[in-house]
Amino acid sequence: MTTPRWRGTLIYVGSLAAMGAAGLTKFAVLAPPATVAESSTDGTSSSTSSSDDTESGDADDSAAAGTGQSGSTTDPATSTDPGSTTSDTVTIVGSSVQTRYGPVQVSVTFAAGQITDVQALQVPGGHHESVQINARATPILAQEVVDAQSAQIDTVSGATYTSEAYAESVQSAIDQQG
Amino acid sequence: MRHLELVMGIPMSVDVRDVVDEQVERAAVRDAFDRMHDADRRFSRYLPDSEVSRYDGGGASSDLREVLGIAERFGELSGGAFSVRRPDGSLDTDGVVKGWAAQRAADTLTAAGLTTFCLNAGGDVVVRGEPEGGRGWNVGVRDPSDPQSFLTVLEVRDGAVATSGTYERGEHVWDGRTGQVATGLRSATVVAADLTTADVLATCVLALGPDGIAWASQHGAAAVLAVDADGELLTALQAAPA
Repeated sequence: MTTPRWRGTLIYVGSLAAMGAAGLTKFAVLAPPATVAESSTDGTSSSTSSSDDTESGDADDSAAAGTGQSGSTTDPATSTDPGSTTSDTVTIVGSSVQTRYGPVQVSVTFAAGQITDVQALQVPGGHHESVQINARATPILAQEVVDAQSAQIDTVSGATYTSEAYAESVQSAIDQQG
Repeated sequence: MRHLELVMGIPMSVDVRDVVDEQVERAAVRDAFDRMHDADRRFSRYLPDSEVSRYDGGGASSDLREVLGIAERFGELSGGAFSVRRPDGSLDTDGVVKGWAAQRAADTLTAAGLTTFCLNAGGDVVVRGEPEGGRGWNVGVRDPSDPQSFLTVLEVRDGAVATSGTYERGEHVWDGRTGQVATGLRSATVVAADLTTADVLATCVLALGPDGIAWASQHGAAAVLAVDADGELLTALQAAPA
């Protein structure tokens, strides 16, 4: 199977873009995107606090599930036609990416060259704040990588270290696949 | 070209949109990252023989003097809320160095002839030019209480955006006036002409609390966006020049 290396970049950008799409959708309810010079106070009247939702705590279990450090356990799973590039399903473990709060590591499942699943193997658990953040962030990020769509956001200010490390681990899995 | 690299565990990335010789571009990006690694080594509190760790108030390099000078200036402007002296008395230049080093890295890209790029240093951003004709860089500002959504999307050309918050690193910013950790705001985002200013101001706003929002707009912030402890969004824009 050949996966061009640029796909890594696209997925990475896409994961931010998915965040962007979600953000824009939310923001569109408040006001049109602001330009700095003109109107960035459009959203002043609205509180953006979102209450904890039901995802709290979900990721802790998956975080604890796998702490394996091996960089590349390629696992051809449910392939029905080993010679074909269109029906292989493989799971690649991304590299473990260090953050200040601990390692982030994911596995990525490819089917027919497309990402079909992303699992967090490790997320930082030693830091009180990051546990709270990651419990919510990880499942959302996984969905974003799978659903990566348009590229309306170029970059993110205040993005988590861990979500960027997550994207990097995903990218390393893609690079191994390529 | 997009390049991502960890500098002291913090992901930093550069997205260059110029159409230039690839070798020139690679050399410029390498140089920019080398400067950030260099600043990290010299100003790290975590390395026992770094310049900051060894600094005893005596002679300092020109770079350290510059960093301490910035800290002193904003310390005075903020009435002492911003300080590079931790409550225990030790020197901690992190509040200045990250933005300062990233801005210097961006300046090396500019000096190499690049005009259209976005440099993101762990969530603090410098942009130059337009990624597409007619529009600036769209910088999403993370909602501190929800990693999947944004407070807003700022369209920025030739400017910088820095965010300081308690949601990720915990309450790591202290108020230099009291020595207590700052808890009045969950996050503060500052847009300014350069990242050195944006980053220091974002930290100042977090240290000052809600009062710092209007203050920052009078001290170099083009725009300030903050979320208070109750989740309320507060903003301020720089007053239009008379």
